[in-house]
Amino acid sequence: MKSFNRVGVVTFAIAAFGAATSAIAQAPDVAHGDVTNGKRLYLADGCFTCHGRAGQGGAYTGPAPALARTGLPFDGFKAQIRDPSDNMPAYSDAVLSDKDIADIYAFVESLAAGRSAKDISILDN
Amino acid sequence: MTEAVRRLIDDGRKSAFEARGQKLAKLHMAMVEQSKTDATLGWDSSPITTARMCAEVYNQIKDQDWSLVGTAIRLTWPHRLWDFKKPQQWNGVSGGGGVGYNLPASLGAALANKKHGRFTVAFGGDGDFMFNPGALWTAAHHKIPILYVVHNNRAYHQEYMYLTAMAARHGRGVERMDIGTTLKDPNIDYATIARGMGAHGEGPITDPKELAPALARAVAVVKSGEPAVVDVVTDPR
Repeated sequence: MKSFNRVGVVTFAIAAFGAATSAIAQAPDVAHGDVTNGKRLYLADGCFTCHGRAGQGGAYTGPAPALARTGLPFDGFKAQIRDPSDNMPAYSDAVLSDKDIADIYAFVESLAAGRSAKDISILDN
Repeated sequence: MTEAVRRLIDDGRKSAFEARGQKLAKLHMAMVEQSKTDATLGWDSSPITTARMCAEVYNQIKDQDWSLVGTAIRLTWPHRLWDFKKPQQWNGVSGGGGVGYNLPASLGAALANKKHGRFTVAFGGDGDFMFNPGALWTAAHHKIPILYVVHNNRAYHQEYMYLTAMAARHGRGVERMDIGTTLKDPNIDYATIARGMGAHGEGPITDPKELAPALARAVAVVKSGEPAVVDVVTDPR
């Protein structure tokens, strides 16, 4: 199971970075993504059901990678939503607009990153 | 048999085996460390992350002769964070992923463990719990010790995810997937149900800081030979 999660993350990352390099620039207003609306959409549209409210990752039919401050480029993030590389459902623009995705992206980039396990006594064993 | 095989291993093969073992051990430890780092995401969140729930439970039972006999759907954290060394520390899951299996099946495993003096622990989803809560009365009546931790995400959550996925796939709205898939309004109090069945009940716990003391009380009850339920309000997966 440990390796499954790593595979999921790597799959997402490869797909996302690959798409980022090949995507036709659409100039999404990423810099001005609305974090508040992004959080609303993240919860209302079910992103949290697999990826967790804190963006900590989880599972669907397979592992769903963590999204909290992944640092993924926006184009790759959007490409994974529009045309997923795995069993994640595709979200068309009839369901999520580019602006919605930019807002969700702003939200997940605003989430707290992980910390050192050594700072948590019950994990430091 | 084992000794016979060992005698037939020449020095060259022995060295190869040892080298492979060291390589695998190194990779394993790297994965464990990564899992610990992953577990820190949302550590203080409420609803409680499943990683924290599993880490807190392990911290309370790790010095017991423990046996994990059930997990909720896709709950992988015990296998990412706990140190499994004996075959009886894990007995697998329902072959078909059947909902409603986990509570009574865990009880059966707890009964089998009782004569060995093992500390039985299980996680189970709230949706699963709803199918056969009367199993707890059986546990109380026959004094079957088990620590049963309800992974209470207030939903038949796998269904919730599938409906969201299918709606997205068909280009439909995805904002009403909670209808018929969630267990809220009113929220269910599994600790009270447990007490009503004659078992010890803790929770529902929404503050992660309250987990450790509640689990410690429940562990003491289980060690005395009785069943205990800890209702943990969790994030979905």
